[in-house]
Amino acid sequence: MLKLLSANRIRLQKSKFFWIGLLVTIGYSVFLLIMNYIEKASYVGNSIVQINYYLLSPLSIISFFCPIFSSIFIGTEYSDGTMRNRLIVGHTRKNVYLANFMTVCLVNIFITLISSVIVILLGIGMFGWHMINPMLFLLHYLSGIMMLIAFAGFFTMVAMLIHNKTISTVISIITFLVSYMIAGVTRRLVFSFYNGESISDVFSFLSGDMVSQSALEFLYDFMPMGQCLQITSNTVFHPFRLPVYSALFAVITVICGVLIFSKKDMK
Amino acid sequence: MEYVLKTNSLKKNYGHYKALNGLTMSVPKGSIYGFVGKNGAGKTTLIRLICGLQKPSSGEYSIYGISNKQKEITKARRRVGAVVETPSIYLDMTAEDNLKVQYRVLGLPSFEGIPDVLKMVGLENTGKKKAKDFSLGMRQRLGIAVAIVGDPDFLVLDEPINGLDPQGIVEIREIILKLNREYGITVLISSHILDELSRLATYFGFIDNGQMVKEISASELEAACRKCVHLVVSDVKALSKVLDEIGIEYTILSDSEADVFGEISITELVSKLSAENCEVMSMQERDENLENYYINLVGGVGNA
Repeated sequence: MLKLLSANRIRLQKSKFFWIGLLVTIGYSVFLLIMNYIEKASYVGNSIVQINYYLLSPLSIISFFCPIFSSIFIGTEYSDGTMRNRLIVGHTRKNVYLANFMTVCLVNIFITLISSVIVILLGIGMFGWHMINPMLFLLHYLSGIMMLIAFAGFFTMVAMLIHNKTISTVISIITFLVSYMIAGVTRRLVFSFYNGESISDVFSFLSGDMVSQSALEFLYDFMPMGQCLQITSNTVFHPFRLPVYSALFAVITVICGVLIFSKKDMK
Repeated sequence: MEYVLKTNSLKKNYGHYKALNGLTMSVPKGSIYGFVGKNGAGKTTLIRLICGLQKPSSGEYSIYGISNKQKEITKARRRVGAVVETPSIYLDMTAEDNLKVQYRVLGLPSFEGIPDVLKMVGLENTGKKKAKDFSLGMRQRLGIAVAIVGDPDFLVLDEPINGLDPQGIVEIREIILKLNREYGITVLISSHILDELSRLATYFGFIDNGQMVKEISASELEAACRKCVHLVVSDVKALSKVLDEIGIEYTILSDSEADVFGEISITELVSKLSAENCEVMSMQERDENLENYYINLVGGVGNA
């Protein structure tokens, strides 16, 4: 496993896409800081000065980067045929799968940490140290990391099970966008319970007895995309549930992925 | 004889299609084993199975005596290098970086041997050129370079000279011969280009419809394909006596048939046989090559 991770590290160093993802995420964080700094300089009191916001915001960019990166990084193993080199020399399919999953996880975490360091260095200089509720922030940050691992679990599975790089990339992006829409709708429905609205006020074709609040909240909490919306907008309903759900989500996708990949005929 | 690879009644089905239908073969250690068969005969399927890319439907194979049903088969595969169909290389990386990745895949501690491997396949001067800008021959050589990282004892090459120009074919041939003769690597090579294969292989296996039709050594094949005159006579003893007198090599096939090797004067032979009261019933010159041998073996025009 370590051998495969080491091989993937060499690939990462040479991967333009990895570096672009890192730079885009850092650029996004810096952009948010600068825009709010300009806002602060122009209209006092109108800008966001809490560092919490800047540290959690890049998670949405990294979430979108994950499906594209995993399908291209792993898809290249199929399109260039190099997956064979790993299996021929005796690495088990389970290890090949897990090494790729861990690589995608580590890339997500690495980009998160680097962008956090940049945010802290620039953010303190621009706004000072304004951290609201540090313990809750740490829980949200951990939930964010776990959410990225859940994303890695799902998109690694897609990339490992679909041999065609283009198809797996398209499917990953479409899945991400569809899950974004589903999470958005679920969010709206969950909020309706707290706003004193009925579900039929939100969507006229739905009635209150069709969906329960607990089921919707579970869906909203369990879906990585639902978690992403909650964490980045600082509206987490059940902070302790999210990391547990993410871990569960990742374990399920990895087990399913390994089982199917182990039985797959390779060309 | 020691064998690197042995298969026993190996079968592989894709749905109802039988890609391998009870294939039994043996690859002797130290040989260059030419694996011959038409498209769809099952060559690549066998290679995929022994490389662990697919699992057999039934039957078994062993690499260095270790069965695919044993857990230790993964260790045995560490002694195998392979280029299956297309060369397995990262196209957006240089030759050196490709080898670095493979060094890490194998867990080799340093990159010291990379220049030697590149030199062995003639890619030492490619510098920062990426594999996607290589010619087909260069990619094939890089694929072989990746396959021989870690000093495997057994190299499996699937159609390594397909699509190469004459220069590329010569280069690949020289690399294969070098690996076999200087480094003692056993090579299993499948190819459609029978003429090229006949220059390389020391052992041949002919496969058709997923079954092994014949396994034969190069020397046996050479004897079978040797230029000769096939004679049918009324008295084979008389023929034998005359040929001994002339001093020509021959093989008696039956009480009326014999193959005569070397240049002979037909007039002299017939007159001497006539003097011995031996009648020549028929005379036919035979000059088989690998292609003819293969066609005769699998019966009819094949797409070899």
